[in-house]
Amino acid sequence: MTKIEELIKQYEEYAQKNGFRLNPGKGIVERLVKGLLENEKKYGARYCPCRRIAANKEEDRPKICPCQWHREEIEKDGHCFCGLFVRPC
Amino acid sequence: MLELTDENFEKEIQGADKPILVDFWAQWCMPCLMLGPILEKVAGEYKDKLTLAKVNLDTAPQISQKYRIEQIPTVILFKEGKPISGFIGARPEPIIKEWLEDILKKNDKN
Repeated sequence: MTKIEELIKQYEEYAQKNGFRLNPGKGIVERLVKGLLENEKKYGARYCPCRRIAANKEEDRPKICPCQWHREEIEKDGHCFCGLFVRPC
Repeated sequence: MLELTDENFEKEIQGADKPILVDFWAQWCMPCLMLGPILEKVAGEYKDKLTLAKVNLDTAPQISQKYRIEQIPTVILFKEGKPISGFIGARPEPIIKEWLEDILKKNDKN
């Protein structure tokens, strides 16, 4: 299993446990997960690819995926800001 | 379309003869990739009224911080060197056009 597949599986399980699901668009999920891994390489953690990284660990901690805001965003908009997690059907 | 970085941002924004529509984006941001082609299409239709510019957060960390860009995509319309309006997140083409019409009309009056 590749690192990308492994991470997708982890996020899928997380989504299921928490009552939402991964975006049904496989390509979208793969690209986002690549972005998370890229951020991990660059900044040391899987920061959301749709947020600015301030390079300040304290300030950036809430942006680690799943981010601090994902639950309320899913509830309000049907998906988290970046679109990795979506509301169940 | 202009590519703006920390080095050329102020110069291009201050020296522009038309409003500049700036798209703050990053390579791995899915909503950014969805919004990009929409903005290009819209900017093409409004080419007499504005110029489209793109700012990759990776090449413009200082400018992104200066304009308090927290989430991307963030789109800001600059006129005479100043930000006059903007929005956050991907939006459909008709909504963007409506926003632009409104803001350009308001600014024509001023």
